[in-house]
Amino acid sequence: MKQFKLIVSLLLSIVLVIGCADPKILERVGIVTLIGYDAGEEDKVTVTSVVRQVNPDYQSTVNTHTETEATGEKTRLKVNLESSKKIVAGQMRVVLFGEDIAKEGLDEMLHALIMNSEISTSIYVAVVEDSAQTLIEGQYKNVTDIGQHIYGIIEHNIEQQNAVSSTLHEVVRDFYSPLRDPLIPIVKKNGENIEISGTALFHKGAMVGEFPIEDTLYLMMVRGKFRHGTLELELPSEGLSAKDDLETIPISIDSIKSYRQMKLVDPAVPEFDLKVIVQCRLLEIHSSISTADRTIVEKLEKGINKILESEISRIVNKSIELHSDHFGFGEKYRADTRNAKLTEEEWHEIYKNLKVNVKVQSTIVRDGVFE
Amino acid sequence: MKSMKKNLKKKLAGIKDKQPNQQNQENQEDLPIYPNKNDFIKSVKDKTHSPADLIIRYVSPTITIVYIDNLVDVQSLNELVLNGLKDKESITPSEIHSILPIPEINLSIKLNKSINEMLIGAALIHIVGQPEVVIAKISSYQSRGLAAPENESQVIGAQIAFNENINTNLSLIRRYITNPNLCNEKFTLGRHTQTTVSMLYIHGIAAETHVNTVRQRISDLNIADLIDSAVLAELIEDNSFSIFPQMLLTERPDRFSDGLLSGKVGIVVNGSSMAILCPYTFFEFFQSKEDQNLRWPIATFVRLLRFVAVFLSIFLTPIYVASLTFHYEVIPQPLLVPLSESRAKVPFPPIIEALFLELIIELLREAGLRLPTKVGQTIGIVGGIVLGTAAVQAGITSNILIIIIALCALASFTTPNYTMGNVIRVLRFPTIVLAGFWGYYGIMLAFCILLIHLLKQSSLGAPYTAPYYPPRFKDWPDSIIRLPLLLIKRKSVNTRGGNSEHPINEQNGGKKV
Repeated sequence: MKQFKLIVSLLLSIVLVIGCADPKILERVGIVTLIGYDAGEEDKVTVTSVVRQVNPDYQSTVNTHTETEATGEKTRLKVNLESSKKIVAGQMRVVLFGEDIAKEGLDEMLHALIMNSEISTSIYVAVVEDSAQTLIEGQYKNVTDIGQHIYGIIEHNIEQQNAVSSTLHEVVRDFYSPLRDPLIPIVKKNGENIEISGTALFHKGAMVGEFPIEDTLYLMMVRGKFRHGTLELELPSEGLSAKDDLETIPISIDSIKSYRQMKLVDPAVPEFDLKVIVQCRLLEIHSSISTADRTIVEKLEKGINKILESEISRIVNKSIELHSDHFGFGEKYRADTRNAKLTEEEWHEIYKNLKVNVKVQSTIVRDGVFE
Repeated sequence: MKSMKKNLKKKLAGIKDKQPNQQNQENQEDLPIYPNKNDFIKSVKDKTHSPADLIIRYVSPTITIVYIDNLVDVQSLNELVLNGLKDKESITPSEIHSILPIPEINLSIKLNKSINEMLIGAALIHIVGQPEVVIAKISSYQSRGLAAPENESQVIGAQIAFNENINTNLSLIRRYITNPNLCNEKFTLGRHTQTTVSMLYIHGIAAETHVNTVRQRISDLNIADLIDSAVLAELIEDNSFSIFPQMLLTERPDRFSDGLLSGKVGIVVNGSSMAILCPYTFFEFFQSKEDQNLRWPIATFVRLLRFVAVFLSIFLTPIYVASLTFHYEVIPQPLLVPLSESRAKVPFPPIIEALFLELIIELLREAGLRLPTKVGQTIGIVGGIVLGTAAVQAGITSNILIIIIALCALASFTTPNYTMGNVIRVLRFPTIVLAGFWGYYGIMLAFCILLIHLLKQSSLGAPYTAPYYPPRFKDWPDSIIRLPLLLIKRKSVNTRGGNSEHPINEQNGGKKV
């Protein structure tokens, strides 16, 4: 009986002392679906948030709030003061950073985001060309919830590998890693549309440059495994065509599967061998060229190799120029060098002189198959 | 904790028993049979408080027959007893014993015993000058005919159910099992009811320990009355405080016989159409006899479906309540808008909304159960459709919750055992309350308490959660899945250890019929 009393009193005290958790009933909170950060005057941040609320007429409304304060949390307080419902951030899917604040450095914002247990680390991070506020407050045709719309744009393009993957988790991992820099896609307001327009390069937390959207494919090839992609190339015509009136031959390849091999050849320089192995399918080619001929296919492959090598070399060299090591050369260097004991500063010193020999080995697996 | 419960049980039993005991002792003084005719009749009338249906017939100046009207079979009374005793003036009880063509006939010099026999349908034949009566057992028992099972109906399989007569039930079982090793031990329980209880098992298949346990538990019972087998099951099960039944109540003779053949111990109670089978594990409650009659992939699918249904039935509404109250983060984005829009008008927090709707469903179910069959169906439809739509339009509940509640109610009906189905339907309520207080932590707490409780239970001392805990891989082919019969051990889980090679007559105790 004594034991029984003990258990009952223990249970009761658990119920009464711990009590009820803090409820956040779905229709009684304002749900933030999107947040945009911009640089405000005097070191302040301007935060634009998209808040979805439900009213008793069974309709949900989407409002945007813009506040300028020293910290993000203080802006949330301000938004709360304006709102009829408690503002919560647990359903947030996308965080946007204006170009100006990205160039100043995202250190504080990323830190605040990752510290907030309410916010999932699988949300997407993107940089906005120009200011995030104008993008969010803009009027778009057939878009009721801008938060969901931007999330949709970013999510499906990342899944289809049209843009680099930039979940908060990945960005923060690269950001806190001393030997690696993050890479974040750029979105742009284009009239009445929103589009992904390129990829931002970072050095430590600050944006240092960007690649246009056409380079994303090469970026993805160098970053790791790549599953599907389409590419239009113009090969020089010599030796390929019987007719001499064509100067260049436009070809189209797709179903590109690639993986890369990175090898440290000389730690002193340091010098890397970067080999990209590509398998692809020939989709379009000028009718005068016979792909049944093995030698012609080999020539085509050589042509493709040459173009890809020059393009990849260009983006690698641009990254080195801008001091952004988003490909992870630093990590490879540390892994392959015994007792490297590399500090962040040392690596950035070394990185300037990095030499990368790019080699592409492409194979045309089949041709002429349409889906 | 356990010992405390046992003490409490003993105390309760003690309180129940005290009063009848005293009364009984007054009646215990056993009278002899008076040789004088009038003395005998007076003693019988005194004992039985001269009821209106007590019939006394004087066959001849010396022979008197006493019986209770409607308890004896009139035809055998007239043709066998009265005809046999015609023109017999001086005859001794032992002579009657030998000449009357009745299957069961006894002699007794004790008044109490004779009256007890008379009360279950015997005719007492008294001869002047003899201190002994003849007890001619010609009882007629009113019972309904055999019908199809109503609570455990199945599509493929025998369409016959037990009725309330123990003799019919025993004969049904013996039709299924023709085996001299089928043992039948008879007990009489209840001081006021004298209910006949039969314990059945197959010697050599059932585990000796289980048989002994059941025998000991039944014979230790000191109860005033016993009307139904469900009461007996509750009195002899391992933990009467648990919400889970530890013994199966079945109305199907095929299921009962199947249990006996797989090594379980069965109990049949006179006057009850449900027979008891034990030991039973938690997972066996979700098996239906029909599973064995179906092809194995289909049976496996149906069994898995039932377990999913149980899980949904207990946890789906609590998950809804917890998600909407505390964990809006986990709601998938496409569901966010429909969920919040359907909740927009509802003035209550989700826990009140859910409890309210669950209450309506339970009311409907209970009302449908109590009302006459024809009205019951109408009430179900009216209640379901009209109340549901009206509640949504009035803005008291959300559409999505109605779907969830209906799904839960439907799921709880898939449990083949009615007793277990009731448990599943009740378990939902504390889980909803915990979910409404503590969100997913509350649901996890409910799940843990449930799991710990199940792990603690036993049925006749055998683990309740077998064959999963303790893991008995050989029994897995017939658990929540059913593999082809070739892979299934005939003996069911928890009945191991019964393979004694002793012949039947070496076993002591128990009356073999």
